[in-house]
Amino acid sequence: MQPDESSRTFRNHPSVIVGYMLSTVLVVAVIAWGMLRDTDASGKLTDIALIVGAIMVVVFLWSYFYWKRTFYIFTDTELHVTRTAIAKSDKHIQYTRLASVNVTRTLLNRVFGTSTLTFNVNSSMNATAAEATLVLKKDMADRLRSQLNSLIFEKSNTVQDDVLVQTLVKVSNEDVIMHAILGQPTYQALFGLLMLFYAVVMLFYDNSGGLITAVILLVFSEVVPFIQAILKYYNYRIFRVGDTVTVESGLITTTRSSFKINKVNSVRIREPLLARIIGKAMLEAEVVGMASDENNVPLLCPLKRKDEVRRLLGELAPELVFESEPEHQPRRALIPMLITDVVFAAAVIAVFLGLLFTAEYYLDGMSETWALVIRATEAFFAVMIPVLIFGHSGLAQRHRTFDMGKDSFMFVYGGYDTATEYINYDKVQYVDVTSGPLQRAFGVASCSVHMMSSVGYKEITSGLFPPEDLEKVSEEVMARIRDGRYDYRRYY
Amino acid sequence: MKDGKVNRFKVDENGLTVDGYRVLNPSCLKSMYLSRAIGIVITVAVFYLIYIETLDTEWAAKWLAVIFVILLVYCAVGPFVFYKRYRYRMDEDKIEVRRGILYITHLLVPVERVHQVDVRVGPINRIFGLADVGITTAGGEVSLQFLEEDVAEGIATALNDKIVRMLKERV
Repeated sequence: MQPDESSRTFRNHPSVIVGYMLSTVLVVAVIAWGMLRDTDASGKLTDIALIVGAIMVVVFLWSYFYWKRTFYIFTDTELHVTRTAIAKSDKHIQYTRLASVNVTRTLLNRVFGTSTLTFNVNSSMNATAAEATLVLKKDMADRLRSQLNSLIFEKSNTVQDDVLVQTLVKVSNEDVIMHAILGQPTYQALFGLLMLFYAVVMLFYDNSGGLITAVILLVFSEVVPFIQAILKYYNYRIFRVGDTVTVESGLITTTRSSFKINKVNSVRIREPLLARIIGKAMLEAEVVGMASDENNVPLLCPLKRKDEVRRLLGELAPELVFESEPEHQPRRALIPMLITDVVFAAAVIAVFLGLLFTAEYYLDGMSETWALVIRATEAFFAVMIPVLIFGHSGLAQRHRTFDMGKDSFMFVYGGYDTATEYINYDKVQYVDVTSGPLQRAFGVASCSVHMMSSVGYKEITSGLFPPEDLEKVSEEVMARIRDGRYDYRRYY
Repeated sequence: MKDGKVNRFKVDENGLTVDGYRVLNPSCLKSMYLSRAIGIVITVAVFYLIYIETLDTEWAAKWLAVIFVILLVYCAVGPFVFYKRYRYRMDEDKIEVRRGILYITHLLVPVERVHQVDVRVGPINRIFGLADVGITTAGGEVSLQFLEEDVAEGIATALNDKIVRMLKERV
């Protein structure tokens, strides 16, 4: 079989072999460095070089063999990936099964003038691993994507037409920086602050080990996500043509993801505490293939004013939103929450009292100033943690609501960070309503709905409501299946 | 009737509760007690080997004894409560399970969402002729636990038939 663009038969660009080789070089270099460091290298340098050389030759031959014998054929109804290597492999991916198609340009893609197309199937298995990945010259990839627009998304736009489509929300690069700072969950920001404080203390205490640990944790919890967010969401655009939504962004690696609106399982307006204080929110969606790993969120709009996010949601997915007169979490639900909080707060205070009474052991030999700093820190946390625990329940009681619309239902959950999630009844896989002993005593329960997500599957849990109200969610899911309002063909 | 309330655990001559659920066979208790006993023995042995030196101190031994007693009480009472509360039912279009020890859960899976069904028999369950039915959906997995093997096979076959029938109707 030969690559033939006219009959829509493609082979990966040869640069994929370079990609495999570079990854191997990196792994082999780390291992070789470790071996040279741990052993007496002088007599073994030649052996190690020979082994490294042999590994590189094997990887090259293997990659070449695979590249040469792997073909991608786009028929009118399916993508057929065929490989005749050691074992013959044939993969048929119906276009109707695709949840999203992404076009990515990494640094390596830019060097070779290529684009990477990834095809994600609407399945919770291996949701973060694409079902098929194809690397092509950029102009060829653009031509193919234009053809796929009509084949997969029944959309007549070409790539050039897409460039001219107005974005549904104007996201400036300043917005992206603001998103990188305020968009992270509050617990992550608090952890970052804690590490910063710890680093400062270690710096004054002249403890290099503690300082390095604190700095590493600070970098991984705060700095890396901040830089990642800027790199990922720079030059952000989102638009909808017909039933297809396209999201594109990226500074070094550019990504363009397209998905049909009927593949959206749920949409979520997320408001981290600091963002909420200044009236901002972000919009996320659960679509398979929209997140590359478990730490990623399938973002539809970075932090913007909340009314703007609501308007965007209305324009992007009017099928899912509805005018809501929500049921608020009943006041009696606060009692079991507070009883649980008392138990946790008592445990925290007991730990700090324990530290106070055993202080003479671990503060032994310290200067008076340092002993005072440590005791003040312990006292601060002994008060602060219970305050945060009770504060969370107070805020959760205020925010948690629940409502059912015609085609979707809504859970508002969270304490410091809140989320308003609209879930399509037809995307609910199963439901459980659970109540603990305290909750049963006050006649409340929580409801978890399980569905496919961008990273596999996930459950979304409501606040505490009367169980008979929450049971209505599963009753409605069943009613739609029984009376035909659920039509599986609508989700092809 | 009990204090004016319906007794939802009492079964009729067909083995069904008043709301049409089935309850577990009492032999599931033996399976649960045996697996927990094995679990406790292994945990205690591993813990003892790791912390053999620390156990010399009086306070550590006291705390471990308290933890062990709590664990023992939970393992003694837990299976009984689980057995008493576990109920399941399957009709034409849904599977329901009510279960839990402290936290009670009512679980509902529409048959329309089921992708795969399998019957699993572990070594301990095999001794008592019991099996679990694993029900996979796109949103995760649910299982019907401690069923008699023939009941488990029957449920799995019935579910598979329903799924095949549904898929054929769609072709």
